[in-house]
Amino acid sequence: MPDVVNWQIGRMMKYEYPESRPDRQVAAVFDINKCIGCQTCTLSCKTTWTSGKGQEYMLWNSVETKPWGSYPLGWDANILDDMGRQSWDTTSQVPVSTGKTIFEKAPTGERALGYRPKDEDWAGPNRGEDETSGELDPSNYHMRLPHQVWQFYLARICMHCTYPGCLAACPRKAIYKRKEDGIVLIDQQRCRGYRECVKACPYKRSMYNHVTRVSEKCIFCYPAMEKGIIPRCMRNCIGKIRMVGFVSTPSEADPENPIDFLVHVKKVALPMYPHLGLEPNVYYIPPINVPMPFLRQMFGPRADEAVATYNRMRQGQERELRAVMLLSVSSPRLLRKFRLEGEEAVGLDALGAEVVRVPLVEPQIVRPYEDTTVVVYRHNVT
Amino acid sequence: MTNGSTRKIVGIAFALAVLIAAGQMGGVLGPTSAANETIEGVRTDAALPVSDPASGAWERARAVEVTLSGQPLVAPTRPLPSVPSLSVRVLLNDTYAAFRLSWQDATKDNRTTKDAEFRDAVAILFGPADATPFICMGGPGKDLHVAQWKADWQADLDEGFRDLEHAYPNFWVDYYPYSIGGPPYHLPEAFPESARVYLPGWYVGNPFSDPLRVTPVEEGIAQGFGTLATQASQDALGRGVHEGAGWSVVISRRLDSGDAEDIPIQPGMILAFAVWDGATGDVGSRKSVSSWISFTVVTETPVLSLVLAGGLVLLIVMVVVVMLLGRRKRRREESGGMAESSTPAEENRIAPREKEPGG
Repeated sequence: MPDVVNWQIGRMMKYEYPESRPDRQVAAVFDINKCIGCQTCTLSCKTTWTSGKGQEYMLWNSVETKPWGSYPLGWDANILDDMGRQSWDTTSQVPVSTGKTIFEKAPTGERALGYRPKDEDWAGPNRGEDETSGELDPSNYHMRLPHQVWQFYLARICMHCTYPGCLAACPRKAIYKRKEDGIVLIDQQRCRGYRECVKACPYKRSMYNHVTRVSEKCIFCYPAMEKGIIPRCMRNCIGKIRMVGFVSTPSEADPENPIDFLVHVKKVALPMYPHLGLEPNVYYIPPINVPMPFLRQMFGPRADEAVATYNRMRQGQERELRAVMLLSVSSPRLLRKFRLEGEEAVGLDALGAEVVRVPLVEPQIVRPYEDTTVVVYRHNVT
Repeated sequence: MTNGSTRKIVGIAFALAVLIAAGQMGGVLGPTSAANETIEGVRTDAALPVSDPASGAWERARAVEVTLSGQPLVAPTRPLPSVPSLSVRVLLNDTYAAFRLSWQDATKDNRTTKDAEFRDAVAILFGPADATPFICMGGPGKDLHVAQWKADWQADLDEGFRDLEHAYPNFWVDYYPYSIGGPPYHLPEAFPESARVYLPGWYVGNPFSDPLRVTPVEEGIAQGFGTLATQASQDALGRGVHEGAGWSVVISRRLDSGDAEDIPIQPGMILAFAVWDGATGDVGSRKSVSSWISFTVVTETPVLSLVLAGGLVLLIVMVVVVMLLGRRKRRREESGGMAESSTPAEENRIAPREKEPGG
């Protein structure tokens, strides 16, 4: 297998094909702290793409309640268990994964380490919904961080990985990564339903259609993206947790690019389970209410730094970071650049034209209880 | 050794040869070929059992047991075979060739509706004689013609399309976009063109997604690993039956279909076989495969020829017996019961007499 660069694990790694990065790589940053688990993203995707016969169980977008919730059941626990104990070398400036990726740990005769979920594993869209990490101890319950018991909502779509497990595993090359934007697609004509992708994807985002008998997956709403419109799940996000754009490699990071700013400049947005080796392109801002050991396991050794930076923003610092966060889902259009102008965050398109302008602090107007012009009393005075 | 005894041995050998040949002509003894190296198709004037693996006509062709091995070359692999061997019989007439393939498989895996269900299947790879293709799946410029019978396609044909409600009898759905009628919305009748948009594989013409099957056999063309593509023209017929401990499958096709993607079936071509056992997770490159096997054709003799061959054998036996009895009688008359001499004088004496009947 060829050697390729995976900057997320700070080293070269083995992959099925030589390194071939797209001209641009679609990416998204999900701020877990803002997700309220409303599943609007899930439904917007479901009604758009997977309402056909054979797709009943499919959720290309799902929101899980961590630590227990999962779809399919136990996907993360299973792959972590199969991978065994992993470690990072954090002595260098860039942490280096000293374990093995799913490609390097592939059994003989296989292309990746993977497992096939059981049929019933797909039966619950979020088994463990709203379960907390443990039972509440009434004698010691205070509102403090991290919470005594905790949970968080983890919205998930296909990661459109730089080194997709599904693509590597497909012996027919029916899965391809688009050169123009890095979106990973399953060719519906070429797929013969082998389901090697279902087995190999550690995030379990390839799904088998019961009726068409071929596999399907999230398409990052490429018809919209081609028109500069962000995907359905992002556009409909009630909590405005999602920033969509293109991510660069660290050496080519553009500080004006909102995604690069979050991922490379501020390093608040982290890949999920980076040690698996897929270089996933959906990044997460870790939840600040969760114990660090859990976050380090899920997001790698930079979780501490990300939480600290995010907390600084909450305390009124990091104004640029705040600007980017406020631009998330502020427009259905794709924001390629941003800038901070006084007290306003400005989102720009690829040509530098202004798309949207958002105040850092929403102006607050308190109206008198009584409206004297029509002589009525207002119930909502803000 | 005397000339007389030599002639006797030659005569018996000749008679034996005629016996064997006559037996082969009549299909009684079957062709003599080394197993696993050559498969001999039997050409017949009769109609072929193109979709009947249980037909008695298959007795005309001798079964060749083809050894299967795992597929260790290309990941994902099948290191050890899930099926150790495959029995092959081939019949041909002027227009068609029919292959009967049978193998042991206790589990009947003919469902692919659920995520963890994989089909049983068998495939024939046809390669041209003039260029030995790259092992297994051909190579660039070395096309292989593939005909694969699939157990789930067979079930679709025998029992109707295996729809969602068959796999999940208790499922319920309110509606599907643009479908017609009411739940549970059977395919394909409840799904007009507009509703098919929500069945992407079917909409783009993927044969695996098409609920309107006409054959359980898919014809494909391959130019190497991972390149198998369904042919535009599907010309193969077939049928598979699972009885007791295994499958019996017929795959048949025109000798020369006129399809440029088909390799004509003719003597001298090479064949290979692959079997999938769905219960063990076989799918795609996880399969049991044979090595390349050469293909020849012998012609079956009609019943009239069999009668004539039998008559010829009987005649020769009678002639030999009459000759031997005549000579014994003559020797008794000439030498008073002494043993046959080997002097040249005797040979010279006998020779002219043998020529007498012919003048």
